[in-house]
Amino acid sequence: MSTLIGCGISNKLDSFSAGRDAAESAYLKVKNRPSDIIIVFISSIFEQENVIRGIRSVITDGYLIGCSSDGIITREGLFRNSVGVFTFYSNTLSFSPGLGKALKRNSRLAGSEATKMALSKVASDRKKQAFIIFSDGITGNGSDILRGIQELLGTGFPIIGGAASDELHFQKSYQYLNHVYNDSVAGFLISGDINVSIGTAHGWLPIGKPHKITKARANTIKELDKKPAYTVYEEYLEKKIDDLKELRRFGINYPFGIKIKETNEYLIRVPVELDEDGGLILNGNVPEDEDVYLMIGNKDAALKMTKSVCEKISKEISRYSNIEFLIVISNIARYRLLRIDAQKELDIIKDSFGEDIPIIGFYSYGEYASPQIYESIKWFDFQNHTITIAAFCE
Amino acid sequence: MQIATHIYGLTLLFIISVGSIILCYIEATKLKKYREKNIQLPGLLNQLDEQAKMIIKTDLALNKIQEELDKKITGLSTLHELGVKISSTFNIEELFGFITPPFIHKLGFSKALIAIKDASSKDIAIKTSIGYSNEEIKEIQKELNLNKDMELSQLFKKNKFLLVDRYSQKVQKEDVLSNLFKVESFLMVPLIIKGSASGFILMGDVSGYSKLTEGDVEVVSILATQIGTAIENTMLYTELFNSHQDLEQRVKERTLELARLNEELNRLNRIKSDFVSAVSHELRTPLTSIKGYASILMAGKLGEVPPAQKERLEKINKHADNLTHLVNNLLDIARIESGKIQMDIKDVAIKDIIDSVVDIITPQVKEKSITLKVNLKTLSSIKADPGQLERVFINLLGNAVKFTPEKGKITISSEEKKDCVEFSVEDTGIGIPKDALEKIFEEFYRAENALDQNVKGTGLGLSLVKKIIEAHKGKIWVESELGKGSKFIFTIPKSI
Repeated sequence: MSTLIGCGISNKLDSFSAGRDAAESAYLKVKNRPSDIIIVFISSIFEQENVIRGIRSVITDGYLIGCSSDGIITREGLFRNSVGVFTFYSNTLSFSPGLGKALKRNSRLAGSEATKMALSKVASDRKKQAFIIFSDGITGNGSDILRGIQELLGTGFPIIGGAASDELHFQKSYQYLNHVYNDSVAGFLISGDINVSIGTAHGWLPIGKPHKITKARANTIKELDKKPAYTVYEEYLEKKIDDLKELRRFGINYPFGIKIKETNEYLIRVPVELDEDGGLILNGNVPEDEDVYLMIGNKDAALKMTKSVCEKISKEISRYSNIEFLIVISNIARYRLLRIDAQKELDIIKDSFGEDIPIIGFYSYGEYASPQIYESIKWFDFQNHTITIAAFCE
Repeated sequence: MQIATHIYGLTLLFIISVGSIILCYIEATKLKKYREKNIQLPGLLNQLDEQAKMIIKTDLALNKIQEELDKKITGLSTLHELGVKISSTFNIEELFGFITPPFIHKLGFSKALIAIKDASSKDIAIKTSIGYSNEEIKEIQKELNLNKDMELSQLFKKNKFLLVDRYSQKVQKEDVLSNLFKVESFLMVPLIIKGSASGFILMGDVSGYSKLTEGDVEVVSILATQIGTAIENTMLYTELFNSHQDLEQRVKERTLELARLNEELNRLNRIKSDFVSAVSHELRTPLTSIKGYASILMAGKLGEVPPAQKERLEKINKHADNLTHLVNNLLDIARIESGKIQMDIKDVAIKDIIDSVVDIITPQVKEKSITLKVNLKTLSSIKADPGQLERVFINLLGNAVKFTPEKGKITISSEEKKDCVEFSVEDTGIGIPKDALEKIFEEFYRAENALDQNVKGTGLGLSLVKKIIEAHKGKIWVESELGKGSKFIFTIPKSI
């Protein structure tokens, strides 16, 4: 095998010890080989800096990158309230990290800066294959981050990633590039001799009548059916929404679905903030004058979509001899929907690609998957409520 | 509640159902066409929306129950983990060290305080905190102690929890506490130590995303019980440990005192032995002269001695002999005690020793028509100083003869035991009173027994015997019944 991946998980309730234990376990699995890159997912219950110090007390080499997450997905299982460390040793792949800050001020610029930094570290003779990104899940605009990246890499370049989460507190999420950051996007370019196939789908279904976006700007729906956007939730709840936290809870369970033209697909958007006029600020852009539905999750439909994503990728990679590893990003809304059946989602993935394929995954507040999604209509965007999988093959 | 999309022919249907009951279905393409042609279907759409609201309400209720259940399971498993940890320590500082930020966050809170009230001053001291700076803690502690009469007093008096959620309750007084603790919602539960509320646990959240529920109260109450019990156990353990330490210290001091006294006793004993030894030496020289001159006089070497004088001279000679014997015994005891006499240990055949002492004692035995019986169950050899061992037997047999009336019986026995050979000299003599049994081996002790008033003795024989046997690492004891006889038993180890 040209790439060795060691995975370590710890749920010790001491931040430094949890980092150290997870790192020791991961390091042991690559037989103490030097790390080219360490991908880290840390629950926001931990003191982030202390966990990083714990990891670095064991693995001193390689870039450390990742984000805070409500759950870690590995081939060994799903882990909540944990620290997950994935250490990579490869003699065929190179990993070039980048970081863009101040998403709130200018998400597009931050996406662009992260890409620039990563590109500057790629050797000229290496073929760039994919960009893996971890953005703040509370601040910024996922669509704009993606646009900033695509301006440099092109719309056809494989991008996969997720938005950092914070156990649904919506206070602060964390991104890592050797240090801990907020309001940032961290990412790394994978280059070398490898092939990538990406798939994404959600399985949420529309419920109730459609509502027209009568006024929108970037990632804010100002009005729905000519009324302040948030009132649509009040209608369905049949009560006043007192505060933002209630709106968020409601929004995760019943997000908006924007019908994608010429398809039967819906792009999911989750409200994260209220603006001063009662408009809903979403975590990705929305088009004006489109129909929007309230969406509802269904376990069977969600799992069906997971299977469908796996089948699509399996078909695409059938010409390759070997799957090196999978990156799996599942939205936290799926975990909340599936709960105990979340394991079934992992089982579907393992059944499709093999029990022994390393899985590096986490639960996110939003997903990036390009260019596979809606390629026919050239609509690449930040996603929500999806299962997003990337298979890296030889 | 199920929502499914089905394709029948080329028609996409949205079917909303509960179990097998279909609540509503609508053809998506028709709906689209109706809208494109501006055909109003307000009735249908409104019906669909009403059903959607109903579904959402039910789904929300189910979600709420599921969330509460998940939260409770997480809380209980986290408390279980903590329980395992705190049961392994009896150190209060270490105990509070287990309350880490991840632990608090896992329970769904972002801030925590554990405070304990001083039993005498009633001052509240914050023992551990999560999510607060040192300055904030100082300020909170100061405020709590300045305003002891605020809601906290009720908490301590009633042993009840206090739950405040700014979004769901608007209580002015409790908002004061929310401001003080810098949280949007909080839960305070009293810490019960030794049956009374002696502190509290505060768990709070700044985000207010999750509303506090009964499940939270349950989890935090269990945590408070765990911590209260652990503190109580730690206090008990500390008390026990301190008392044990105190006891150990006292035992140590007493042992040192005893060792010191023992040393002093040994020193005095050595002085006594030296004194006895010196005096005995000094006595022996004049005694030798007295005895020598008495012998010369008795032999008539200095002229004929009249019978009356001869009789007196014989008495002088006899008493000089007794005195010499006494002095010799004293000297031997002193020498053995001071280690000046080393036992000349060699292989000694038991039979040879017994034969020898029987030869020596036989004339005295015959004189009193006493039957002397020898009962040797072992004939193996032992390691002993033959001269000293013979002395033991002669002393014991001499006593037996002395205290056994005419026609009595004396039995010498030997028996092999696991680690030693056990010897005994048993007589049918006058016996020893019970209260004297433990003292007869002491120097100069003579049992008060009306029957033996006429029997002369120095009171040193048994003491010397004991010293010799102890110098062989053996033991001696006596069994006796007044009027029936005595049995002196001693052991000589097989290996010295």
